[in-house]
Amino acid sequence: MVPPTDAPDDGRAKIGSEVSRTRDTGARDEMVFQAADGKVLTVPVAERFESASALATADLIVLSETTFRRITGIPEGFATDLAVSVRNPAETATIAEKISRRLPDCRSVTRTQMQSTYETIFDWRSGYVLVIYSAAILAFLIFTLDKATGLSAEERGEIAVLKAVGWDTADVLLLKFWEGAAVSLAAFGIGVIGAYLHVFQAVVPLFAHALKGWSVLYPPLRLAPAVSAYQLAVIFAFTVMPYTLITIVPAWHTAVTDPDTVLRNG
Amino acid sequence: MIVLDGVTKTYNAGKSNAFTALEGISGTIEAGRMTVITGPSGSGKSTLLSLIGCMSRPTSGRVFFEGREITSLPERFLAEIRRREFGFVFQDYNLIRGLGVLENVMLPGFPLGIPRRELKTRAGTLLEMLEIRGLESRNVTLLSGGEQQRVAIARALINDPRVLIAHELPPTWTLV
Repeated sequence: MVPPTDAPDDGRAKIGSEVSRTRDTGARDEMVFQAADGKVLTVPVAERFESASALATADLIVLSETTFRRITGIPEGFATDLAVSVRNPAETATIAEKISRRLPDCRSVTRTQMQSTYETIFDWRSGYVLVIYSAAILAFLIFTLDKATGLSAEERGEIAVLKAVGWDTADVLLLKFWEGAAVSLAAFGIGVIGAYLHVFQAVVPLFAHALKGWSVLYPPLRLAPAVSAYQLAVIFAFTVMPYTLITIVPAWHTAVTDPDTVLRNG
Repeated sequence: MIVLDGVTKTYNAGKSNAFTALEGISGTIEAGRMTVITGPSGSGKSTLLSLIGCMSRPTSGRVFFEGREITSLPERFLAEIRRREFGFVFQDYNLIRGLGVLENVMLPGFPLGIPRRELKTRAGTLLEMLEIRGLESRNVTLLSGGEQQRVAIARALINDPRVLIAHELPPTWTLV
């Protein structure tokens, strides 16, 4: 990449963190290229981009125009890419069309098209996450609905026996409440711990490629462990609480029925 | 003393599949005596036991327990009577499969507010008496039929009931 301004000096390069890592420039502090004419060209590294900009610069090599032409063999007056500034933004599409018509070998890309491409890419990524998330929510809803719509014959029998041996409806509901709470709290705890380990220990193997950008060389993703109490509270409120409450409904329905009727009907 | 006064029990009353299991039954079950109810299969013995044991209500007629009519009592009072006055040995034992022997035996004692330690002592005594001591922690699904029956008897006796209702007289009866 040859920037119009802020380029490195001739014969020197600015490189991204992943280029530095994969080319192992640390000790030698230089990049070695085979130029278009077959000669080997050594370019000292003048600067490394900060890791904070890794999403954009991880796979970037910035050279001066002269160095670039020496490596690629592209003569003066020729370029691989040209940036065209248009004074009237409303004319951009028309001018791009004219360039394409006048220079059919060239591909014109407007800033709007680039933005649209980025948006599409990131919409796709968010959709990818949403699909996985939706599947998890759907599984939870089906599981909860299954619990809400009825108990198994064995569970109904257990409640009837408890009633028969003297448990009050409130005692049974309290028991079922704690059972539901134990199940949902255990699931919540396992889920939170699993998510923490997945994100901060395993470094998000399931989502990393979808979320890290589209560099050829992906930057390393090292996340600082952090837990949001607000997010945990929201997840708790939308999973543990409804599940616990919903599991009581069928238990209540059975508990208010005569034990004899429940035991007879199974 | 338990008194039945013209008790009728109809299942699914008002529906096309209505079935009358008992009709106009009257009788007295004296305190301090063993009363045996016999009859052919389908004659309503189980239904009668469930009415006596406050596990269901008659469609018509009245049931008295110690002189008090219990037919129209709210469910929480019936639960209280079952808890304090009755012990049940069900035909199929109806033990809770997910629990061990000791927990099954102690179940009726929990709502009575008896301390867990005392319940354990009571349960231990009963298990000793029924010759199944040592099975406390075993899951009831791993017991033989006879052992399950004894656990059911121990459970029926844990609250020291005044009335013991045994559905299908167990062969181990002499042990109690």
